[in-house]
Order: sequence, then structure tokens, then C-alpha cells
Amino acid sequence: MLASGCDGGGDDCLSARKHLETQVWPKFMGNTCLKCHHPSGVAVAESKAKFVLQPSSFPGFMEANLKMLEEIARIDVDGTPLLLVKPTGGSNHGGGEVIEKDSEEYKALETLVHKLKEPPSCGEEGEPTVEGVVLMTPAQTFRKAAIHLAGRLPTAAEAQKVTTEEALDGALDALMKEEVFLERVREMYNDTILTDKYDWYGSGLNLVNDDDFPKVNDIQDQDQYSPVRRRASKAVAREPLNLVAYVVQQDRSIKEILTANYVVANPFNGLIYDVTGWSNPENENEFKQVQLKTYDGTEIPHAGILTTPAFLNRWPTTPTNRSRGRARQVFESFLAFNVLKISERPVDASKITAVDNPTRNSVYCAVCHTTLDPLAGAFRGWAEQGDYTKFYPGASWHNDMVSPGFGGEDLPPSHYDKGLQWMAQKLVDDPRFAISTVYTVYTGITGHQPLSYPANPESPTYSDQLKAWDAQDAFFRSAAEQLAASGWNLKSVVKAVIKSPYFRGVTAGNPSPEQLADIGGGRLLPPEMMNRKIRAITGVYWGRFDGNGYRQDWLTRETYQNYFILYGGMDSDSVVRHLKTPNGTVAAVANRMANEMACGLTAWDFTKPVEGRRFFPRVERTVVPESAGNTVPASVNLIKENIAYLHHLILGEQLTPTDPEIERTYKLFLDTWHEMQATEETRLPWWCRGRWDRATGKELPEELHINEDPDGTIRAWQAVMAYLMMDYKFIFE
Amino acid sequence: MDRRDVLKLLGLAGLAAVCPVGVSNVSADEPKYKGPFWIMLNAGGGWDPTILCDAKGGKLGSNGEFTDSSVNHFETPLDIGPFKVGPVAWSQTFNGTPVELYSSERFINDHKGRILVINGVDTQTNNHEVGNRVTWAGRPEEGAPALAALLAAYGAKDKDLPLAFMSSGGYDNTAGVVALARSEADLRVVQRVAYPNIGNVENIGNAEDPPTQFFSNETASRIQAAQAERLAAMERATRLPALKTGMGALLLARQGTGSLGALADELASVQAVTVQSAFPEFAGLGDNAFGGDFRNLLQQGQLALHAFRAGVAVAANLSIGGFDTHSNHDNDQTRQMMKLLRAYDYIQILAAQLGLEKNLYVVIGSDFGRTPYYNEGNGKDHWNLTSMILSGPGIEGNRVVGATDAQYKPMRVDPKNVNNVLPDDDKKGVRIEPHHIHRELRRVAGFAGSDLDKQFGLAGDSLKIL
Repeated sequence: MLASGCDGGGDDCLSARKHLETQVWPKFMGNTCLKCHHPSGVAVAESKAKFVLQPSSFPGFMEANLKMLEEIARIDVDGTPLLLVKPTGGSNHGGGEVIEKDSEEYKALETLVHKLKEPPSCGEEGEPTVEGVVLMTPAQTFRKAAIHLAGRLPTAAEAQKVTTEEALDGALDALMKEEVFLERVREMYNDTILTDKYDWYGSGLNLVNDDDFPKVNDIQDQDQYSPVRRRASKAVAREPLNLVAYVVQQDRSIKEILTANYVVANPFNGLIYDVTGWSNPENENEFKQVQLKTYDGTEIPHAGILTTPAFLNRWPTTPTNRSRGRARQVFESFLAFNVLKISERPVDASKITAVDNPTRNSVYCAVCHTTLDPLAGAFRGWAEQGDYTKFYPGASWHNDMVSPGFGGEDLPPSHYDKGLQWMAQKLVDDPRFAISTVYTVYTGITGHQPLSYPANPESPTYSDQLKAWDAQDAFFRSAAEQLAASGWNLKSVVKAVIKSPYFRGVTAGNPSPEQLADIGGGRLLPPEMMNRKIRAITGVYWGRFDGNGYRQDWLTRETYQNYFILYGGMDSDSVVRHLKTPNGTVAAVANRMANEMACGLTAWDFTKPVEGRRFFPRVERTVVPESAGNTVPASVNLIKENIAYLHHLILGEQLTPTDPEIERTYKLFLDTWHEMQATEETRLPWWCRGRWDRATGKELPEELHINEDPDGTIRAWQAVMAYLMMDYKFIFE
Repeated sequence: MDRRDVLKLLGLAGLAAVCPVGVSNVSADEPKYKGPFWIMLNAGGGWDPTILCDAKGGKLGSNGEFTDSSVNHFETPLDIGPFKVGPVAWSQTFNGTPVELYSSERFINDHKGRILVINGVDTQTNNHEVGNRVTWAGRPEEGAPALAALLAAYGAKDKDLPLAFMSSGGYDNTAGVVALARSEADLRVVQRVAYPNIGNVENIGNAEDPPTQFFSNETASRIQAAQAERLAAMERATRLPALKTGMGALLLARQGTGSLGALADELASVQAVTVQSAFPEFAGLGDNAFGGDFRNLLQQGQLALHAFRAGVAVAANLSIGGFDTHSNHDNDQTRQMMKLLRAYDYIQILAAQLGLEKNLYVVIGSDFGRTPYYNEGNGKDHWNLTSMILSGPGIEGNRVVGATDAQYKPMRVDPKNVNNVLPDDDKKGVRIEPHHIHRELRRVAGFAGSDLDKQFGLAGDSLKIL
């Protein structure tokens, strides 16, 4: 259910936007009119109609169409609005009569024109929301956010403090100052620009032009396993993502990710660019702005991400492609606009040959190229390999392409040698940049794509689908406004998403599944996040220590024989989407993780004094549930207390002692303990013995070793640990 | 909770998105899948059939050079039976000696008996996204499931097939009918995943030092059972569809993990293929000869075929890119084409070794074709006409259906007899479109008429091609 916010006003009080959204667009404009007035429709592409309607794939399409309608609504023909004359076949409408006078459609259009000219004045229309959603408490929200954004659990102090929305705000602000948050931001942006393709065994170094930066050769010459070589390569590969991280770290405007007239260096690509003076030469998140120069001293006209070698190589060009592919990606990544979606009508290429220069003169091609080519032209001066080769003022661009520019404005000749700097400013000033930024964060956090506008008005659930879309669209617009109001600080969007029902919805009284679509998250954690979560909960990463004591995590890409791709990770090259749904192999990897971790952690925890234990602070391994066949109530209570403690630690559940889930877990413990009583084997499997510090891989003093389990409790607790760590609430967020 | 219970629960919960449509009779003994098997071999970026199976020659001008209207930079296609074949090959130089990877002629000669070439396929698009979708889903609409996904879901019904649909790229949208599985060719990793309760999988089969389990089998089963009960209880209790879907998917995914052991067993004695091990003629050239993407493609094929033989997979997407040759077309397109064709060759060789050849379908396709002329960078741009190549049981080889004219423009076929080619202006004829081919593939797969087939129907009329 949506609150209209216009009490008692009825349809008369509906705003023009709401009227368009509910009465006009779904009933006829979104099909009858759009068919020909789509950017690639016959009316626009062939008859050059000025009335252009954007399809629902266009970000903010409802606002864009409303704006167009407002402009057209001002035009009258013999005292009748053109918007009513044309569809009834007047004023040489190319499509003839598509709406009859006095029809319901005509009346709806008439009302729209009226509302556009004289907006209703019955007060502010409330923002649509999905009603009946129960949100997590501030404490629950913060726990989820802390794991999600910072890869850790709340501290005891935070857990005590975060009991109000205000406290949650403050705690989130602090969370977003942590190092792991920067990595999360990088991950969010890599999902769209995919430059981490080059974060792979030194391949980043290949992106550097050694004529301009000869020091790269010194690093290239190092052993391929040299930590410095690998970290320098990573720093180059991650220049675009580190720029985002820097902007966020310094609370600068997110617009700088495109407009920055600098690159960010950390101590490792700083070795290549000759940047010194680091306060901590080991800190990959210590950044400095750098203006780079080519070998002859020419200052490179940086334009944020757009001019980084990683971006330019990830989205390459050819002499005939002329950076159109790059332009397409810029539209998609930074304006949330998939250019290919404007050209989905059937193409008969056999007719194209008759047209000279089809990208300009054939309607089949020009529909995309009139949008793409101007932006592509701004990449002038940037070579196929991503080097700045200069583009001298006065030099001609390709005459057979639409002139470089944006939104109908040509690139000024004074910027021919730094076209991307001019273009970047245009891009960030476009309203779609804010929406795109919100989409990137929303998808990065929830794992969900924004809902599509419901396509079928005949669907019995159309109304509910529309409400879900409407509420989400309103949330996106609100988040975009907050972004602008915050001085374009990305953290404002992160906070908005975290506090929204899309992240913290936990249940709902609303009976409509369609309205509840996307509420509450439910994301299969990608391997990077799973890796951090395991560490957050257990204090230990899932992996092994090699012979040199180096930690190798199983859920990262670079470890030999890892589970990264099987678990749904992206290599940002051939695999460019996260798995959203678990399959048999994902489930099996999760099972293995749970078994290995339970094995490694249980006996080890019992080697510690009770006050130092992470998992078993309520029991000793000698606490058994029965004695001589009789229940020992005090022991059972302790065991259940510890089970409740583990449910909270591992799954975030606050359960009472009588909760059925406590009973279920206790039964697992008890049945396993019974099984152990029936076997003579008391030795723990080698891997599961308490002989090593699992956080460091180092062997414990011999007097602490736990090799045997004479009471059967360690193996019973191990079963409980595995059970909890393979749980839905552990592998999803 | 057994699979039957899970499916019943999911059905009650209305979780069609994660539950294969049409599941109604779940067999008790969960037999492994025995075929047919499907490989979709994708030439990513838009291939050029005019150098392969719909070959068009160029014209020499008075100066002895090819004219601007030349479709290709060769004069005369080869006639091999019903096939018009481009006389192109690709070689790489090793230690000063050029070594041929493959040629169109060799490909046709090696496989003509099994392949059906369909020429003049009209994708009606020059848009990569739409072309990819219409070629592999048979429908241009966004969200349409790939044929491989549908066939995997159909084949996996009643069975625990954790890798029913394996994808290494290409168009792999599932529309929720089946879980998408990524490929991993490393044996040790597959073994560890297949045997999550064994610590040292490398000791499997070692009688002197047998592997060690984390838990007894009894405990492991107890953990799984308790987990299934808890998950089912949570799934029943939650009201949020996003959470419900995830829980349902996890419930179902866990049912399939047991049969991963069959794949691990299958791979126990298998070494990852290299270019040298796949083709004796390339011995000494290095494991990654002809490019890492070629070896990667071979490995994708190797894993798919072994997964088929292990009975844990139904369909696999194999993909290699580099076909979007807007510049330097002759070299780059030919190079990628020969990698693709040689991979097909390897797939058939290995399939025969594994005893799968009579039960294996391979479909080769691409986003669309390329222009019948060169641009100023010696590249070719997008063209809506293309070809597809099919092989498998019930598909008559040594045959060509459909055609294009000398300038690679469309021609039609007689809907009553597709062997009759008609000019494009003869409206009695029809242009072959991807949906025609998909409908035929659905038919030979025995998939036509199924609930899934009806749910994801195809537009247009049928055309008897196969």
C-alpha cells in the first residue's frame, strides 16, 4: 500500500507526475505513443519528430518524459494543446489518429495537460513507500552494516551504544572511515568498470608506458613473486578504483572520479611515478594527487577514471571503432544508460549498403551513433594502448562522425587537446550521474539490480509491481537528492541504502510479494565479502599458511587452487557478474568451509583460558550433558547458554533459552555426543587438533596441545560449529 | 529432508524461480544423467561466415588488387560437397617456422559428415547484446533464457545435477529455471568440493594412508539433516520474497552436492589439457601455443565433456571472444575462427574417446555476421546475417540449408521444402531466423511440448530444417 500524501484529494490532487505514471504511461503512452516516439522509433529516427519519449530502460525516464511533456504542453494549435491535437490525427501527425476524441485515453491526456499547465495545489504529495515493512533495530542494522562495510563485528561499546537511529547514524559515519570500507567502495565500482581484470600477477605493470615512466622497468625486472612488484602492479591496475577510494576517504565530491585533474598514487605506483614522502610506505591506502607528464614534459590532461590506463585498456578501441566502445561504457557506468537498449528494433542490414556513411545516415545505425559518437570524440588524443599521444589544437577529427560534444553542445576547439576534461564536467552535471551513482551503491550493497518498470499492464499484479517500482524509484531520487545536498559525498548514499528497507527490512505485514520485491536484501555473499565475514566472526581467515608462513585465503583469486570462481567470484575479464543464486558447487564450497573452520577452531578455542575464548566462554570441554545415563540439568543449561551465545556470535540471532532453534542445535550436540560415547575412538582427526594458533599458523606450546577428546564434547561442539557456519544466515546477508 | 521433500516444499512456497518447471515425479534412486548433452560454442563479437561456410570471393581489379566491393580478399571459394568454403588458414611462427593451427578447408573435410550448416540466418540486429540473445535464446526479448539453460533444466528434472548448466561465458541467462554453475578445471579443487568432509583429498585411493574425515558419516548426515530442517523452517516463516527465494535456492542446491563426487572420480586420472596434449602435431610448441584463450577454450571443453560422462551436467556454454574485428579483419578474424574450429575438432576427438559422440550436440553460433565489405581500417563491421552450424544425433550432416547471394544479402527458403532457395523478393519464401532453428533444436531434444517449452515459447512459425 502506498501513501498518497494528499488526504482526501482524490485524482484531482494527483500531481502531473503521478497522473502520468498511473493513468497515462501504463495505459497508452508507454506503448501506443512510445512505439514511434522512442529514440529509435519511426517518428523520431525517420521523421525527426521533436517529441521524444524515453523508454523505461532510460534512468529517470519518468522525469525525462515529464520534462518533455511539460515543454510540448506549452504549445497550442488554434487554441488546442498540440499534445491533444497530434494523437487525434491533427497537425499532420505521421501516425494519424491513434486516440479518439472523448475516449478515456483522450480524457487522461487532457487531464495531464491541465495538470502540467496548472499543477494541483492541495499540498505536498507524500513520497511513496512500501507499507508494513518491519525494519531491523538499529543494533541489528549496525551489525549487518559492520560486517558488510567494514568486515568486522560491532565492538562491545558500539553494541551498547547503537540503540537509536541517531546513534546508528553516528556509528555508520565512523564505520565509513575504516580501511575495509574503502575496499568495499572499490568492489562496488569494479562491478561496473571491471578494471580489476588487470589486478592479476603483475599484469597491471604492462599498462604503463615505459617511455614516459621508465622506472616501471626496474619493477618489471623483479622476480614475479616479489611483493613490491605485485603491489606496484596492483596499484597501477587499481588507479581508477583507488581514485574512487581516495575521493571517498577524503570526503571529496564523487564527481571527482571523472573530473579529477590528477591520478592518485600510493607508495607502490608512486615508485613508478617517482612520488616520495610517504608517512607509511607500506600503506596501500595512503594516497597523493599526482600530475603526470609524458617523456617530453607535456602535462597529461587527466580526467579522473576516464584517462587511467586501466580504464582505457579495459575498454579498448581500434582505428575504426574510434573510442565508441569506450563511450558506450562511460554511458553505462556513469550515466546508468545502456545505449544498446535504444536500438532494439529489427535491423535489415542488407538495406544499409545503399546508404553512404551508415553510422550517420542510416536510421538503423545513427540511432545509437548520434548518441555515442559525440562522446567518443572526446577520447581524441588517447591511443589504443591508453597512452596520451596528444591531439593538437586545430587537428581535424573524423569528418564522417557526428561532432564531439555532449547534449547538443559541441566540444569547444580550445579543448580539442583535453576533450575528456571538458566531457567529464558535462557528464557529472547530467542528472543521470547522480542516479547512476545511487544505482552503483545500491547494487554494490544489496546485490540487486534496480527493479524494472513493470512491462505488462494486463498482469493481475501490475498494480503491486508498480507500487514496488514507484517506491524504489522514489527512494533512488531521494538518495540522489541527499547526494547533492551532502556536497556529493558518496557516503550519504551508502548511509541512505543501509537505512532503507532494501537493506534492513526483516519481515512485513504487507501481503503482496510483488510489493515486497527487493525488500530486505538476501544477498549471497560474493567470495571477497564471505572471506571478510569469516574473519569478522571467527577472527581467522579460511585458508592455510604456506611453508614461509604466508597466509593464503581460499576465497581470494590469487591463492593457488582457490575457490574464488567456483564460489561465484568475478575475474572481471570473462566472468563479469557475481553469482546471485547458489548452485550445487557453491553449497558444497560452503559446506567444506564450515567443516574446515569448525575443525580448526573448536579444539584450539579450548586450549585457551575461558576468559580468552571466542566461541566457548560458557563451558569447559568436561561439561557433558549426561552422567551415567541421567541428564545433568546444570550442564545442559550451560551447554544451551553457549549454544545461544554461538547463535548470536555467528548468526546474529538473539534467542531465548526455550527457542526451538536452541533445541534443534542442542539436539545436534546431544546426538553427536551420544555417538561419541558409543565409539572407542577418542583421538581427534589430525587437522582438528588443538596444536596450532589458527590465526598465525604457529604451533602452540606442547603443554597446551589438545589431541584427544575423551569426553566427546569437542567433536559435538565441532558439529555445532559446522552446522552454524553453513547456515543461510552465515552465507547470505 | 530428501529431494522429494524439498521440491514439495518449494512447490508449496511457489518458488518457481528456483525450482525446475515441470518437476512432478521425483525418482527415488536419483539416477545420473545419461544424455543427450549439449555444447553451445560461442564466437563472441560477431563472426564472419563468409570465410568459413558461406564463402564469398572477392573481385580483382585491373591493377590486380581486390576491388572495394570485394567481400573478401580471396578470389574463389572452395567447393567441398555441398559446402562453399573460404580458402583461409591461420598459422603462427615458432622458431622461425610457421605452424598451421587449422584451416576452413580442413575443418570441413574433418567434420563434413556430421555438420549441418545453416546459412542466411537473419538475426535482425547489429547490436551485440540483442544478437547474442537472439542467437542463443531464439528470442530478442530481454531476460529470455538461453537454450542451454532450458535444456539443462529439462534434463536435470528428477535428478541431482549440481553442474546441470555450466557456463564459461557467452549468453547464459537462466530466467531462474536452473542454477548457473561456473567451471573450474583444477582437479584438486573439484575434489575438495566434491568431498567436503575429507581433509586430505589427495589421499583418496591411498590404501596405506587413507584420507581423514572431519566428521564421521553419521555426524555429517546429522548436521545436514538439522540444517535442512532449520532452513525449511526459516523459509516457511519468512515473508520477504528476496529472502524466500535465496533460502529455497540454497535448499535445492544442497540436494545436488552429493553427486559432485562422480565428477571428482571422473577427473581423478585426468590431466588438464594443453595444446600439446590435445594435438600431437603441436608437440614441442608449448602448452599455450596459439594463445592462452585457445587453451582455455580446450579446457572448457574438456571439463564439460568429463562432467557429461560423470552424469552431472546437461549443457555447457563454451565461449571465445575476439571476433569483433572492426580492424585488421583478415588476420584477427581468421585467427579466432581457427581457434574456434580447432576447439570443435578437439571436442569431437575427446567425445569419441569418452564414448559420448553419439549423444552429443554441438551448436556453433555468434552474435551476427560481418559486413560484405571492408572499412577503412581493413575491418568489417556488423551485419545482421549469419550462419549456425549444428551437429548431433538426428541431425543429418554433409548438408547446407539456407543461402545468401553473392554480395552476402539475404535469400529465402521455401517453407514447404527448405532445400529450395528463393530470392529475397519472393514473399512466398521465408528468411531463416534464429527462432526457426531453436524450435527445431527443441524438437530434436525432445523438449518441445514440455511445460518449460510452453512457458518460454518462441515467436513465429516452424520451419522443417532438421
